[in-house]
Amino acid sequence: MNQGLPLLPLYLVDFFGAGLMIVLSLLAVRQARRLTRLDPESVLWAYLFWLSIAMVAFALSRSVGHILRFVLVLTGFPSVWQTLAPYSGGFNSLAFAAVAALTFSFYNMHRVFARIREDADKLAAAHRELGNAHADLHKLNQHLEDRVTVRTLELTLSEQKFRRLFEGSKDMIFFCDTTGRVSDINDSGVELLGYEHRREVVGKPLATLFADEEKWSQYYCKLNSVGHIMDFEVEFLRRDGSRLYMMITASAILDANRNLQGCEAIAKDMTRFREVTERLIQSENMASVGQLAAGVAHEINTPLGIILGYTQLLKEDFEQQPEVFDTLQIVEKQTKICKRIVADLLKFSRHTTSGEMTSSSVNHCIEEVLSVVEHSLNMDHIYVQREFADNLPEVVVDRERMRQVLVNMFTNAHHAIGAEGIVGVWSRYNESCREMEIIIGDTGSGIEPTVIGRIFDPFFTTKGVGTGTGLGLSVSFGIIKDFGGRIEVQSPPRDPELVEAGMHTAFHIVLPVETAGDTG
Amino acid sequence: MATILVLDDVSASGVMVQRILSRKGHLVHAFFDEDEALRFAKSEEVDLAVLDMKLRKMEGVEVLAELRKLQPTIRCIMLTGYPTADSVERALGQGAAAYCVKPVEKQELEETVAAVLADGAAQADLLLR
Repeated sequence: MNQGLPLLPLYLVDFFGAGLMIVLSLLAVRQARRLTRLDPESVLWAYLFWLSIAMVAFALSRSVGHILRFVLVLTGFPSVWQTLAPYSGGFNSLAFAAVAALTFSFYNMHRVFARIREDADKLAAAHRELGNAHADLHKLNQHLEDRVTVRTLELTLSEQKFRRLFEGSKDMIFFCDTTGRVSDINDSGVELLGYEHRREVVGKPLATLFADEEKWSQYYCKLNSVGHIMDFEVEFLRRDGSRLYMMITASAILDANRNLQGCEAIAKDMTRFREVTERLIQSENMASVGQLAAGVAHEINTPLGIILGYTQLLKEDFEQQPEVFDTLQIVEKQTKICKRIVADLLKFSRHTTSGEMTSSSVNHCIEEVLSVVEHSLNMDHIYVQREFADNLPEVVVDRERMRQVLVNMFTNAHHAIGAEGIVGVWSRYNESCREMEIIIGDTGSGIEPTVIGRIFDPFFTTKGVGTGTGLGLSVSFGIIKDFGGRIEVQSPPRDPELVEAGMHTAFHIVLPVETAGDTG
Repeated sequence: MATILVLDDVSASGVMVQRILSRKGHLVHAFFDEDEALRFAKSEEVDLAVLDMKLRKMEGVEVLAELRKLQPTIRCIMLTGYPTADSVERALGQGAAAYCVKPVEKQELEETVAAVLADGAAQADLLLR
């Protein structure tokens, strides 16, 4: 067939091309193997490796056939080639088909890989997101824990603060539940009420602590209607039955329907305050009565002096007429009594230190007075029981006026007993208050509660006409006040020692003791 | 016998003093008004003045000062119903010889007057010597 053209270049290209094909395919295998080794997991490289193997098989089958044919034809054995040619061609076609199949499948493989990779990427992203979410959650959790810790600490501090306030308060703080029973109370409250343990008070109906039912209803009504109550003055009953003057400030605890669920309250002990106030009021009363009395005394003095003077003149005129003289004598005597009362009144109101203030022994003073009055007491079968403390410090008083007070006290005790009884005299020193106390008690009739608040008032007397002027205690009160002290009365006495001694009334004269440090 | 001037715003009181002292043989002039008393002292010599501390227009101490201007040797007893340390001091400071707290009893007044007059006489004796 194509006899006109030389075939040599064609054969040469075919020959060397076949050789080159073998060489290139082998190089491709080598490259693919290297890649596979670098990344054994990579399916692509594995695929390429097998593709290049197939290519080598194809190159060999094709190139060997072409080279053999070239050699056999040139060497003059075309018949041999004729025999081999169908096998070479068949093998070549098989290899070609294999390469084609592999090449075609690559596209699908690639797509599958892409999908797998995509999925893997998505999975990885999802995994990452999950990781982030987990980290966030962990962080949030940690933060939450921190906040809980901080809040718990704050709560603990707050609880401690209010607990301390509750426990440490010197005032009574208590809570009540729906049934009106005490649900909690602080130690001060327990102590004030005279109990030892909180459990003794908790559970008690609040109403039973009120000394006065009327006050309880007022308290309850006000809490119910207004929701709070301020500076409400009540008397609480202590365990031993004595009374405690309290000032309550309370708030109601209401539910959503504004029904009373209980109350929380602070109660201040006003017992001491009340005593001081009462004493102050009494002092004030005394001062104003004193001023009034002084005014009256001065006004009375002039006419009294005139009556007395003229009576004395008349007495001189009627010395020879006994009847008139006696009558004038009575007028003079009664006028002198008036004069004494007025003088007493002036003494009470004036607060002048007529005598000298000297350091004196209290026990000595009492003995001096007793040496005068004891005899008259004994005449009525009244005996004196002395309970003097030793080594008492001295007090600075005007001894004359101090004796006047003591005489007064003993006279009152004598009158209270009448006949047959005991007058007890105690002297004590309270070092912590630096106060000296003289107690004069008697086994007499005691003082009615209705009049005990008035016994220091001028002109107040329970004695019969002619026995007392009602000025003794007022004057004594004024004198002791001048000394910087005070007189108190208890009937019956609160001191167990006095009660045991059978005393029904006790006057306490309290005097300040000036220690060396005070006077420098 | 001495000439005594009594000044008290309450007439009964002044008259009483006058009567008590007259019985002791003194010549006593009782006044209820400060001006009248001072007018009297201008013309008559007075040995002793018995003055109430509280008068209508003036105080006893002021009257005493006026009397002293008129008669420097006049002696004086003050009477008062308001015995305060301050008034005592003022009275004695003005030269009062004694001081009696009302109501004054007859005997106390007689004794005080006698003592003041005797003391004055003693002083006069001293001056004469």
